[in-house]
Amino acid sequence: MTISKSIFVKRPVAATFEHFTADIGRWWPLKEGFSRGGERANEIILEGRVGGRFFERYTDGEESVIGRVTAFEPPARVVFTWRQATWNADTEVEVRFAGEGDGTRVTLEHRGWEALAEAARKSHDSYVRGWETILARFAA
Amino acid sequence: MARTAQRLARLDRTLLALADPTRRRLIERVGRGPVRATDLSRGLPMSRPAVAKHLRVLQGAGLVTAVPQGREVLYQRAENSSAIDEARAYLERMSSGWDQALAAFKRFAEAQEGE
Repeated sequence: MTISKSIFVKRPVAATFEHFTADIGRWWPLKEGFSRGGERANEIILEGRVGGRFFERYTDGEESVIGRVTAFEPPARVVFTWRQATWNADTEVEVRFAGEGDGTRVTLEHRGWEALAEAARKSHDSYVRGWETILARFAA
Repeated sequence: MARTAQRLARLDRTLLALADPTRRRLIERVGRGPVRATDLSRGLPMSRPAVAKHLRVLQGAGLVTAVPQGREVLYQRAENSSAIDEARAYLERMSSGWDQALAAFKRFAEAQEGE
């Protein structure tokens, strides 16, 4: 399961990468609901280095980390993790930038939903074993 | 808050259930009407215990229920299988969130031309 998106931006690759990463707080639709903090969300920041944080800062100064940068390769590629507060595993977002005509093709993949599911399975092993016990008794 | 956590835990289980193509086939088959595990394994290239294992995952996700009938157990689509709708709705929300974000990004980036 992967969410895949692609968009053409009529700007050079280097500028497009720069705007996507360093300027993320200037275009991210934080107030339109694509945020963790909702009304409280004031800023979104992507630190431009491997290990950097991807996080929201709320109006009261509190910070909420969404993920970490795992690859930072200007102007071609950035990868960061994405975890909701209640999830028990990371998903991953990869954004690629490639020259196309007089602009840049931006492709985005949000993947790793299986890891989320796998973590859920592990935490429910006892549940599965419980079922096995019940079925074994039923058979006897 | 506890309710949200509970709902998300169920969502995780649903995503796990749907991540596997065999289980997606099983859900489809079970959705056509109550069926015995033996009959389910007949139509698939796998052993009965393997099918039983998949069925347990589907049960854990609240997508399939097992109903004892005499000496048999019939599997059927859970009456309240909204878990599957919930997972789909969540992924769709996420997907349209990205559509919105990328469109906003395009507008912003192209407006910076003069800088």
